[in-house]
Amino acid sequence: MAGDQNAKSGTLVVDFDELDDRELMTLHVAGNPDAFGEIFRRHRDRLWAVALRTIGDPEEAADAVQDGLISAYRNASSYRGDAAVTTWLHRIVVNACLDRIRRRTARPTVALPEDDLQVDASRLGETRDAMEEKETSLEVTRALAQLPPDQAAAVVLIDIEGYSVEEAAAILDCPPGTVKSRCSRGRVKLAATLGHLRNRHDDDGV
Amino acid sequence: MTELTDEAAQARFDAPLADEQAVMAMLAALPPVTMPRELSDSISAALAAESASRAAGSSADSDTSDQPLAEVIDLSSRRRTWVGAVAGIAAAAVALAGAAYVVRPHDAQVVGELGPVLASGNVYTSGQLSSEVPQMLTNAGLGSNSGTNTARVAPADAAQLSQTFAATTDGIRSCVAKLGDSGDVTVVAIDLAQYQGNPAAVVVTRATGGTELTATVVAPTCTSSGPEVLARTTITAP
Repeated sequence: MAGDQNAKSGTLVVDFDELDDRELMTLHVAGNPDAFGEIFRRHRDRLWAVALRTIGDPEEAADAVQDGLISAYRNASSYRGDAAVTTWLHRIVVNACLDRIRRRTARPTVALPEDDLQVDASRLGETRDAMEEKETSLEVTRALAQLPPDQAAAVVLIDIEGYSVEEAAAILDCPPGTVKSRCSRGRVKLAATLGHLRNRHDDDGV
Repeated sequence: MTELTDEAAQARFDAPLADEQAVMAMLAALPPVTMPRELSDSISAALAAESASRAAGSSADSDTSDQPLAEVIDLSSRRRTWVGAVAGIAAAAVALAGAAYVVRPHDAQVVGELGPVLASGNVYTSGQLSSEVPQMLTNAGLGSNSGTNTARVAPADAAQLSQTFAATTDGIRSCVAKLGDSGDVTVVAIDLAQYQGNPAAVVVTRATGGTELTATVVAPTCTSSGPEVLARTTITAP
């Protein structure tokens, strides 16, 4: 939809759907009250997934996402446009998660109520498979929560969310080699913790 | 467990062992998660409050690029609570190559016949709207499965209406237009009730061409200067 000319005011009205993230950020910095909200709506699920998987606890993840987004809103003028907006947002949210984890005196085992994982039920198949998948998901999430935070963040970004090493390095603001070593160490620890699940998956032909 | 050296760990990343490959497969197979609706609404309300503050000239924006991107903010008072003040839709001018552009979402326009204004006597609670509002609609005979059941929710009387924005059609249209919807909506029903123990109105709308309903809790006044949105959630039509 092209911008509609308002004959009375001589202004151009543009549909947000036609704007990319960088254009919305420009509008937000210029003072548009709704542009940042549109950015949030576009990327909220992925930001939530990263926060929840990294920090483990749904309440803490919710606070970290809210902290991060409000910080991003207020500091939008620091976005220089060299990285994608989503990379910049993820960096802020991941930093908020890591800050929260580091402020804990210890990382207790987190009991995750099943409902809080907000699993997309349309992906679950037969009842037995669905139960096993949910149980696996819970065990994996618990195991992730026990990793050192830097390793958890690397594993979440690369092995769960599918970011490339270079993208993860931009989000975590560290060299690609560091991302690789953190991710690798995390995988080794997870392999030790989740070995019993491997047998289950092997039997199921997954 | 002895930690891998950096060099060994990087090499292992590129050539993971069988156990690690199995872990990678498990991680990749995790089902996607979606942000809970209430969290999304809470963050949207918080961002709207930031907009209101900025519009009022009390922004806390930083202008320096040295500002830490993730400042520590004490949000204990805002933690998943609803923000009372929501900015009206204001246009901002952006100068681009000498031309002036105004970008704004379309103010919602109420279309079609207005739904009933009810007085259910309900006391709605935070976090329960997604179940309480469909039940109210069903009890009011507005659900698809209401059948021939006699509606058990009374319409609001003149005395109840007189204290609210719902007293006039113009008042309803003015309130709905400022709720933040980006397109035309139909008002399914308005329930003059309570929210968290205080007088409030639940405005149930459906976007034109949509199937989902939106339930917005507003203060009884819902003035044109600010609708005072107390809560908002998407619900499935009963």
